[in-house]
Amino acid sequence: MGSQYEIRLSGGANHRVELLGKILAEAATIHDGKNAVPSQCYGPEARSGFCKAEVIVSEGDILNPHVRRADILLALTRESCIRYCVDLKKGGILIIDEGISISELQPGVIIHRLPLFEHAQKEFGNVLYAGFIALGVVVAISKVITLNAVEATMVSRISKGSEDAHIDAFRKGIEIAEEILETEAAD
Amino acid sequence: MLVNPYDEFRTRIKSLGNHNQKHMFVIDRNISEMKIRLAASGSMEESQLWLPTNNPRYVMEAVRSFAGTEENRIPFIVTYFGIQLLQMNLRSIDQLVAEPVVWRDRFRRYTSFMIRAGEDLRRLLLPFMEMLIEEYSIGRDIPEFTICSVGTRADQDDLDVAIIDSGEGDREALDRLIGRLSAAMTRYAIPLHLYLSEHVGPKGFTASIDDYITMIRKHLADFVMVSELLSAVKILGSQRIFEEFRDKVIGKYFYYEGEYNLFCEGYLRGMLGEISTVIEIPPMPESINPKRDALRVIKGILATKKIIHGVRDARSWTLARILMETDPRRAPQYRLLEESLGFFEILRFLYQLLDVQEEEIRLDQTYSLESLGEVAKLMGYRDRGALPAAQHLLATYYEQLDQVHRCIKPLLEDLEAHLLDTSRFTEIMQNPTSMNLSEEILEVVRFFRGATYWDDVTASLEQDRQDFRRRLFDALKALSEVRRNTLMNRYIRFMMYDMRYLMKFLSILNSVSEETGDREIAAAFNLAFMNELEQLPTACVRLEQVFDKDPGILAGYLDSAPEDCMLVIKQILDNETREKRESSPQHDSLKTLVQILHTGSRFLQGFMHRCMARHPESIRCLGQPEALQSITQKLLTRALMAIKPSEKKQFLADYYDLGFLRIAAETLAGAPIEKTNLDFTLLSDRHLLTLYNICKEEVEEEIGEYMQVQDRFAIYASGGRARMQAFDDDYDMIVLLHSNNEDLRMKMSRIISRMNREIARTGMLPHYRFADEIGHYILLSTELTRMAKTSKEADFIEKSQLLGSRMVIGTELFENRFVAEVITPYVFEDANRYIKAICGEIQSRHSQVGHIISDLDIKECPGGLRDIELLMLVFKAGMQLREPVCTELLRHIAEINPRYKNDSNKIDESMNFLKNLRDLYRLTTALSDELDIDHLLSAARIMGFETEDELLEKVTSVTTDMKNLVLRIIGEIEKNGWRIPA
Repeated sequence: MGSQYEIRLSGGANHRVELLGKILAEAATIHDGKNAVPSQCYGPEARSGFCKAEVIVSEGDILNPHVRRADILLALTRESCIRYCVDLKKGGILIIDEGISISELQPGVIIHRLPLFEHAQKEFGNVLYAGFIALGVVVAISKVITLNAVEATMVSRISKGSEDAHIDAFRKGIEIAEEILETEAAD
Repeated sequence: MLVNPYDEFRTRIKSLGNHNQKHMFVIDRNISEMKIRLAASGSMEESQLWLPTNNPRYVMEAVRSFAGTEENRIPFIVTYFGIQLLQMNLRSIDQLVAEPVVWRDRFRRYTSFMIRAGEDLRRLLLPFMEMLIEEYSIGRDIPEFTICSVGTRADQDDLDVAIIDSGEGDREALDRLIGRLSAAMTRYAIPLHLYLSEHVGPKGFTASIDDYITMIRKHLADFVMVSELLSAVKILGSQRIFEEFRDKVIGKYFYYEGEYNLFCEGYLRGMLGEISTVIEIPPMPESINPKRDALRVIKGILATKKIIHGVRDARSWTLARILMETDPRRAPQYRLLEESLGFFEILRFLYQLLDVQEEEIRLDQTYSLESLGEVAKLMGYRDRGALPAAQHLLATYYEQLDQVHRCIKPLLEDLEAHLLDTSRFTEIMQNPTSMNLSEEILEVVRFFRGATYWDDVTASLEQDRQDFRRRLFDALKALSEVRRNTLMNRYIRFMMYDMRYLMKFLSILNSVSEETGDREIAAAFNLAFMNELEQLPTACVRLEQVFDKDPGILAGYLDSAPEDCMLVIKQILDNETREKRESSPQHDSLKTLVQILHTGSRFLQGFMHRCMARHPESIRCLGQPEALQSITQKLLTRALMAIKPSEKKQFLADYYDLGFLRIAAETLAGAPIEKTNLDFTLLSDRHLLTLYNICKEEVEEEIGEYMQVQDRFAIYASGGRARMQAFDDDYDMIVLLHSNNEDLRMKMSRIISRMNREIARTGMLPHYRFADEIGHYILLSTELTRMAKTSKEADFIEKSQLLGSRMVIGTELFENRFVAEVITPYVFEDANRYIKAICGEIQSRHSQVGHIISDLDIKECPGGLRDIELLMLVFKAGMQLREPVCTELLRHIAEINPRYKNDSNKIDESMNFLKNLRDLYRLTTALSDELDIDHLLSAARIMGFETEDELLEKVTSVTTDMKNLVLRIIGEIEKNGWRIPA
C-alpha cells in the first residue's frame, strides 16, 4: 500500500454499498489499527439510482476526505460504472458484475468481470448478497484491510440471525478473488 | 454474590444491535487497565463509570486525569464514551419498557422520546469531541473554526457535520487535526460525514465562509446540500464564525420581499421537483425505508416553508410548531406532519438501535421482521388477533405515509403559487427589459441549472401566457445565427439535468413552430438536443428514466420531433440492446414505442395517439403484453361498472384502442399469426358484445321498456372479421331480427345506430350488409328469406356473405334456425350452382391481372388471399360446413376428406404467410393490400427477411403455388360436375 489507498464502491440504491463502506472503514480502523475516512454520497444524484460509498485507508494521517483517483472501484450497475470509472487511477482495478458491459474504458485499467449476482442468487437465494460477495473480492484483491478484520466488523454490523449467510457470501468473494489472483500469478 | 456491573452490562448489550459491539471491543480492550488506574488514583468511584451522568464533561476530565500517561488518555476517554453511549441506548429502551407508550398519546410520546434521544446524544458527544480536539491539537496556529451539525440529532450511524474555518492561519494544521478527529470518531464513536466539505472543493475537511459562498453559487440546485445548510446547528467551536456563516451563507436562502431571491428560488425549484417525484413513487413491496419514504419529504417541505416564512430555527420539531403560527392556514397540515415525523423518526431510530444501521428494513427476511416486531412492541403495538405487532405497525406505516402525502400536496401548491408570484421568470415576463428575452431566460435557466421544477415555464409556453410563444420566437430570430446556435446549445446543456422538462419544452416548440412557421428554429433546438444526447454515456438510462417517470412526455416528444431525432434515439436504444445481456421492461417498452412512432403506419399511430392522450401511463407497458393485457382488462371492467353510458362507452373505446395496440405490439415483435388472429377476434367480439349491451341498456332506459330479444336477434360478422382476420379498419355486419314486428325493429335500430356512432369513433367503418337494399340496419328474417329466394346473376356474392358469416351476438337457437332456414335451402342445397359460380369468379379474376388487378395485391392477385377465401367457401358449401374461413376449417376439411390433407396444409401455410404479411404491412406502412416495394423493409425484417426483394420473391413463390393449387382443385371439381370429389 502506498501512502493511502482509495476505495470506491458503487451501485444502485438497493445494493447496500453504504453499509459495505462502513464495514471497510471500521475494519481498517478498529481491527487493523489504520486510519480510514468513510464517506457516502446521497446527493441529488443518489436519488436517481446512483449510490456510492468511499473509503480512504492510510497508515498515517488523512488530510483530505475526498477520493480523487480511486485505486479500486466496485460497480454493481452499468450506470455507476460509466459514471465513476473515469476517476480510476492508471493501473486501478475495476470490479463489475459479468452482466454489465461497457464499451470504452480508459487505458491501463484492470477489469475483473465476475458473476456476482448469479452466485448471490444461486448460492444464497437472494441478490442482496451480491454486495457481500463483491466485498470479499475487493478485500482480497486490494489487500489493504485484513480478512479477519472485515469478518469481525461484519459480525458487528449486520442484522442478528443473518451473520452466517453474510460471512459465507463474503468468503465466497474471497474464493473468487483467490482464483483470479492464482490465474494472474500463473500468467 | 456481588453484582458485577461490567458483566451485567455485557449481557445487556447483547439485546442491542450487533453494531453496538464496536464499542464493546474498545471497552474490553481498555477496561482492566482503566480499573487499575482508577483504583490507584482514588479520584472517583468505579460505579461512576457505569452510571449515567448529567455532566459528562466533568467525568471525562476525571477519567483523563487518572489516565496518567499520554498513551492512556485517548483510550480511556473513548472507553468512557463507549460505556456512556451504550448505557444511554439501554436507558432509551428501559424508558419505553418501564413506561409503555399509551396508545391515545403515542404520537406525542414518540416526539418527546426523539427530542430527548437527540439531546442526550449531543450532551455526550460535545465534551467527547472537544476532548479529542484538545488531545489532537498540536499547538500550531490553527484558524478559528466551528463544527455544525447538519443532520438528525439522534442519528448514531453517522454524524453529518459542516466544518467552517476563518480562512486564516495554518489551515493545513486544522485539516490534520480534523483528519485525526474524523479517524477517531470512525474508530471509537460515530463516523463524521462531511457531505458539505466534499462539495466545497478538494481542499480538505474544512472550508472558509468564502469557500462556501463560491460553492453555493456553483451548486445552486443541489437541494440536498442546501437542506443540510439550512439545518445547521453549532456543536462546538467559534460562535462568531457560526453566526457569520449563518448570516452570509444560510441567510442567502431566505426569502426577502421586494428583492431578487435567486437562492431561495433555486432551492424551491429543486425541492418542488424532488418532493413531487418522491411522493409519486409507490412503496416498495419488499421493504420499508422511513428516510426515503417519508422523512426526507417531511423535512424538505418544512425547510422550504421555513425560508419563505423566515423561520430561523433549524430543528424540524420546533420548525413544525413555529410554522403552525406563522402560516396558520396550513396549521392542520403541520400538526399532522409533526405527528408523522415522530412516528417515522422513532421507528428508524429503534430499528437501527436494535438491528442494524441501515435505512432499508427488509420485509422478506425473517431476521429483520423479528427486529421489527421488537420495535413495534416498544412503540406500543401488541400482537392482536391473527396479526403480530409488526403487522399492525406496518399498517400504521402505510397510513402515515398516505397522511404525509395528503398533507404535502396543498403545501406544494403553496410553493408553486409562491414561485409563480415571485420567480425571476415571472419578473422577466411581466417587466420586459432591453435585453433579448431568449438570453434573459437562458440566464434564469443557467442560474437554476440542475433544478427539477420548471412547470411554471412550460405552462407559460403551453398556455401562451403573456404572448410568450411569439416573444420567444421573435427574440430568437433577432439573434445572429451563430449567437442563436450557441444559445440553443446552452439551453439544452442546462436543461439536460431533467430531461422531462427539456422534452416537454421541445414538444411545445415543435408543435408551435408548425403553426408559426418557425420550423428551422425548432429543428436547430432538436439537433442540439440530439448532439448532447449522443455524447451522453448514460443516454439510454436517462431516456428510460424519463419514460418510466412520465411516458406521456417522452411519447409526446417523439411524436413531435423531426424524423432524424427519432433515428438518433432508436440508435441509442439499439446500441444498448446489443450491449446489455438482459433488457429491462422499460427498455423493451420504449423500443416498441419508438418502433411504432418511427415505422408504424398512420393507421397504427392513430391508435397510439388515442392511447397517449387518454392513458399515457399504459405506454409504459408497451413491451410487456401481460401488463398491458391487465390494463385493458381493467378498462373493460370500468366500462361495465361506470354509471353514465357516455363513460361506459369511453372506457370501452379505450379498451379497444389499448387492446389493439397490445396485439399490434406483439405482432411487430414477431408473434405467430394464429395468436394475433385469435387475440384480435376476442378483442373485437368482446368490444362489439359489450357495446351492444351498453347501447341496449341506454335505449331501454330512454324508452322505459326492456326488450326481450334473446333468441330473436343476432349480429353476424361478415368479411374479414368473420374470417378472424386482424387489424381490419372496417366492420362488416349482418344484423338480423327473427320477427316481423316493425316497432321492435325500430327500437332495435336505435341501438344499432348508437353502436354505429361508437364503432366509427374508434376509427372503424361499419358496413351493414343488405341494409342498402331494405333501407334498415336490421334485416327481418322474412326479408332475408325473400331475398335469398330471388335468383339473380350475381347472387353468389350475397350467398358468400351469408355462408362466410360468423355469429358474434346471438344464441345457438338463432344460429341453428339461421342455418336451417337460410343457409341450408339457399346455399347448401344449391351447392352445385354456387360452386360453379365461385369457380367462374376465380377464373375471371385471374384474367384481369395486369390491367385491373396488380400482381403486388396480395389479396386480389391470383393465388392471393381472395382466391384462398373463395376456395374455402367452395369447400364450405360442398361439405356443408359453418366454421369461419381459417385454420380450423382447413383441418376439418382434411378430416372429412383426407385427399385434401396435403392441400389443406399447403393452403394453411400460404394463407398464414400472406395474412401475416398483410397485418405487418398494415401496421408498418398503410391500409392497403397492394404492396409498395419502397416501404416493405420493416415488414420484411420482422418476418425474418434481409431485404424487400427476398420477401417479394417469397410472395411470388407462395402466390404462384397457390394459384396452381386453386386451379388444379377447380379443375377436379369441374370434372366432378361441380361437386367436391369424394
